[in-house]
Amino acid sequence: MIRFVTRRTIGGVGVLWGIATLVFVIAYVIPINPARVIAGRSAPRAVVESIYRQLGLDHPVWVQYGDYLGRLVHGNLGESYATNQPVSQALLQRLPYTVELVLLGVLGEVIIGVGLALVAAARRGSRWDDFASVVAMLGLTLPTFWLGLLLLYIFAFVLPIFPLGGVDQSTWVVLPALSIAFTGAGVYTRMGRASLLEALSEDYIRTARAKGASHRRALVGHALRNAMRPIVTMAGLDLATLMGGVLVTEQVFGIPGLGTLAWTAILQNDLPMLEGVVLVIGVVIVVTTILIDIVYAWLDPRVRVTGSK
Amino acid sequence: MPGGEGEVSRWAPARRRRLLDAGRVLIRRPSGAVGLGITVALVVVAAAAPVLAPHSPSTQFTDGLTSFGAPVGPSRQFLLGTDALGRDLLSRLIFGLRNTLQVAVAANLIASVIGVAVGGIAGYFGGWLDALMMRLTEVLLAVPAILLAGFLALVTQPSPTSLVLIIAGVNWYYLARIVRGEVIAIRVREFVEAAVVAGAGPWRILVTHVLRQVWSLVFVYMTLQFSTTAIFVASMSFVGIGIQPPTPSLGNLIADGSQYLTSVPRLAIIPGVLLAVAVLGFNLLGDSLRDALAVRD
Repeated sequence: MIRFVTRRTIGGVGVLWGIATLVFVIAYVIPINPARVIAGRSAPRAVVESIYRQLGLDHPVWVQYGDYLGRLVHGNLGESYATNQPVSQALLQRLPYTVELVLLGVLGEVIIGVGLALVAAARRGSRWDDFASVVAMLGLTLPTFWLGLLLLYIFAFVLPIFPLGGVDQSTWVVLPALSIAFTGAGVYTRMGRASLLEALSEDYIRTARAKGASHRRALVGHALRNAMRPIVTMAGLDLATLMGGVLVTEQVFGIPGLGTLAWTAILQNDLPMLEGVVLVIGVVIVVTTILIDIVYAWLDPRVRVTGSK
Repeated sequence: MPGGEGEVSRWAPARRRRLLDAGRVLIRRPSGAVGLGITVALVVVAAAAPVLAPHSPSTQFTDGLTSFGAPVGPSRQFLLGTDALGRDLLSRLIFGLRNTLQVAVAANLIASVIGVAVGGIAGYFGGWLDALMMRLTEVLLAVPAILLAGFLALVTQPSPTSLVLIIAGVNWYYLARIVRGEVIAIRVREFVEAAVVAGAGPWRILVTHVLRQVWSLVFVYMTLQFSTTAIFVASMSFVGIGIQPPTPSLGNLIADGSQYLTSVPRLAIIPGVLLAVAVLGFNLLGDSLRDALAVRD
């Protein structure tokens, strides 16, 4: 188990180094002069050149790359070109909103998805099964940001239950989390249904039924436990996609999270800020994936031996 | 493997019959017929946009706004009403669909070519090339595609071409990994050994023997991926890094409309419905194709 954790951690550090390098390469080839962005459009050439040297941009590329990695290892992400605020400080301010939204979104996604899968698998071929597959298809079909707008219109404007955007009221998270949960649930419903039906045909289910377990008990107590494994894996693999959805949804609901920070940074050519968002989300995704792998290996010893997912 | 096709693929009549069978299965299923119908209808509308659209998508009509400067509702002249600048919503919708589909189709094609090439080469040749390419996809998979696209959008001047390349650039790696897995499984089969013995070079074997085995998988994946790409294009436009106004796209129509959500909700809702119908059509078609061609997940 220790070997497995070590191996996965080294792999994770490798991926993070890869992301940092990717970010550096893109930032290096960017046709924007950071010194000009900082100094402003009308600043004299001498000022721009002095900022250029201050940033170390006159050094050879490998020196810049070394400096950059050195700064990252020390947790220094630089300062915003637009506001001079340290990037790490801005990220820390915005991160809680995004994390809250992601956690509730994933929770809702799995609850809705697995719930529908249970209903569909318990009554295979019935109207409930059809209903579940229609809801799953709807979820896969609706763009998250548009569903968000629709929810805003219905539940914040026509029926003013929730706030019309912003994070001032404590219920701000409900509608954005719902729009993420509903559009993400479809995948879990389809996969959950398939793996539940597969599990239901196994011998241990017949044994459980023979020993007097009810249909419901066999489904929830025995089949579901085994069907949850691919769902956990899916949730881990899906994390990057999910984060992407959250970043867009923030824009719909006016949530001052990492997404809003990123889109503003793009409009302002604020390179360090955008780099910071990419890196911090990379860290979140890599760390969560490793944690999921470890939990998964703990649940299923076979994974530890082969090391495959 | 798609239906044990390996043994018959060299016999053209058998292959054609199989395609016909698949087509018949596809159309006989209601969801397949609906998906195909929606897809064909939307492609026709998009292709014939200049003929079909009642007005120019960028003309601001003086009678397109009320005396208070608000959009006018649906009328005989403006079938779906006008937008906040007095432009005909239906015409913008038709051209928006056209622009969105163009970008999505082009990006999807390029992404598929990259995915098949990378996956095929990595899977067939193996070794350090395979390791390098797979590590690269692992890194890319750990970054949300839309965020990477936003980063790349900073690098390039906004233009339809750069947009297509950016979207293709952040959407090829799933397919690459799928194709790699298939190729590794196919590489060890007898007909590949036979081709090696017959003296065929590695590239010839990869292209004419191995990759030909994965075409139905790639085709199904592309159809399913088409809906994801359409949503992706719209999401990019929605956050302001996609198709740039005044050129209409489904994403920026929704974004523009969202500013008038409480006063003129139809501006945001109608383009969203069209986007959802399009995505539904591609999904139904892709699912039915997968069943008809017997490709496993």
